[in-house]
Amino acid sequence: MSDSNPTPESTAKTTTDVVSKAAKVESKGYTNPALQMMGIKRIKLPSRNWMIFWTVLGTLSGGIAYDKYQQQQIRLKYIELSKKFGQEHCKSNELPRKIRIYVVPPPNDYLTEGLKYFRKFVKPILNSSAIDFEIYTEERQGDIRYAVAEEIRKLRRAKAGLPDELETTSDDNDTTTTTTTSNTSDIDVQKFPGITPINLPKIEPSESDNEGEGELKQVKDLYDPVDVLGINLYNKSLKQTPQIKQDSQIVDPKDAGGVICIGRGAFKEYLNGIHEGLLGPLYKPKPKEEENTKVISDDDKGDMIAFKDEDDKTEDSKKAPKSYIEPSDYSTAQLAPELSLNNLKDDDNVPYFFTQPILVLRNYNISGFVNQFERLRRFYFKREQMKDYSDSVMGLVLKNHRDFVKSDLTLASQEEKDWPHKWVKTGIEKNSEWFKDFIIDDKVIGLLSVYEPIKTDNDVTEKKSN
Amino acid sequence: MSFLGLGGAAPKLTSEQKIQAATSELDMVTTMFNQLVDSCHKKCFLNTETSYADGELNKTESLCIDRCVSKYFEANVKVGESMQSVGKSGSLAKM
Repeated sequence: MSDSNPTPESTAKTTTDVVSKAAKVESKGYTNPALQMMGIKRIKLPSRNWMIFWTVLGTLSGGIAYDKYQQQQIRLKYIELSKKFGQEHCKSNELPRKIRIYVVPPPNDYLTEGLKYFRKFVKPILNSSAIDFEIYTEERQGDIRYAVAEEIRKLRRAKAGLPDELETTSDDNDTTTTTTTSNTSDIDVQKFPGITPINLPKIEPSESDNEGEGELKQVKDLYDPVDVLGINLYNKSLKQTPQIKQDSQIVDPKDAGGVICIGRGAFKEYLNGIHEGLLGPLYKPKPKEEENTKVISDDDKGDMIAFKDEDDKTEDSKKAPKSYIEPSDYSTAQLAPELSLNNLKDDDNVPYFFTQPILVLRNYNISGFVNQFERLRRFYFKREQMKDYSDSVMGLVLKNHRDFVKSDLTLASQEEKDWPHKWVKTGIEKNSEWFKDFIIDDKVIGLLSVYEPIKTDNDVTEKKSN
Repeated sequence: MSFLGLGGAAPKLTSEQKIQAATSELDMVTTMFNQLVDSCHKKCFLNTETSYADGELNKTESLCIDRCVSKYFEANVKVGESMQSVGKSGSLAKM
């Protein structure tokens, strides 16, 4: 094609070197007079290096773009699938199904990383199916275990009619009572009917102790939003209709609510927390001093110091409170005698959260120098993670539950392979909760159940999305 | 107003001032309510594709409204407390 061009002939009249060079250069590419008239001399491929650069850049960014696009398609598909649940009618005094979500930070990473999984993969589906949720997080290992156990203990104490704390400090009580009395004396005016804030200016200037706490009051102490809006003024019946939780009106108690544990650690801690709460004592057991002294007397002084140090560490605020019961005592402990096991429901007739089915989702975090390729692969195939998550969450949305069996202890255990070795090592050294033997008790297992993921057929869903 | 404890108690409000205070209070509350209704309506009803396709509330909408109103009030209370502390000490209190 270049032969037909007029330009080589003109250049050929100069030195032979130039001719050969020019021929070489101009043999590449394509041109024609029309393009030349437009100012485009020659269309040709960029140089080798530029080609490499653009190819690599295009592949990498194209991979990301494709993955994002596929993720979006998957998300839309599942949102569409779960939408019909969100469009059911709901009376104004009804509260939709509510689940709890426990999130732990992945190993060697921050909590935000764990929450990212929730935000990207779980939340869109929950929102479209109108499931309310509450998130419980932790910054240090053991917090979730303690929170779960404490919640169950609180329930048991309430059932048994016991106070929450065994030893109440008198000082604290005094201060609280004084503050409340001062508040009530100030807000006597509030008892008047009608809109309360109008009466407020009367209170403020008449006080002599302006510097005291009396002046700074929380707005919510002064008036209730509902009173302000005047809703109750014209609509007396509204206050009388009680709020109904939809979870309380379900025939099969396993259909109500649900629990999601994001991360293997969250699952472990949640189960341990349930065991601790149901089988353990109601109050914090006193440290076994006799045993301690025995140990100290047996060993020499150096060990004694070490022992003390350990004790101090457990008191440290960096660690979560210790478990009230040892796993070895599970088999001999009685299962929550305060709760009537035939009717495990709270005052609102909602089944207790620990009887609700569990959905375990794994983290896909991976770190370490050797694992960089695997990490890269996961980054480019996030859609697979999303599919996995979405299927599982659909199981929760559709209430596809079954009883808990022993093999379910390995749920999300693939994640443990990704945990960095060094981190695991220090965890075992520090006696971390995530590496202790995962011991469960048959009495507790009988109460539990898990959600089974729903495998959606690819072809069917593709047709639907089209 | 008082110097070294002298100057007596705070001045008593006249009824006119009281009415003024009440009016401004009511104004504030009404504004807040209107803004609340406006923003929550926008968020929960106008953005959804099926807005007003149905006479009754559906689950998504009622959940959205619940969250929106409680969030709004929470934020409002926080701001109110903060403003009170500003009025008292002249600087923003750290929450």
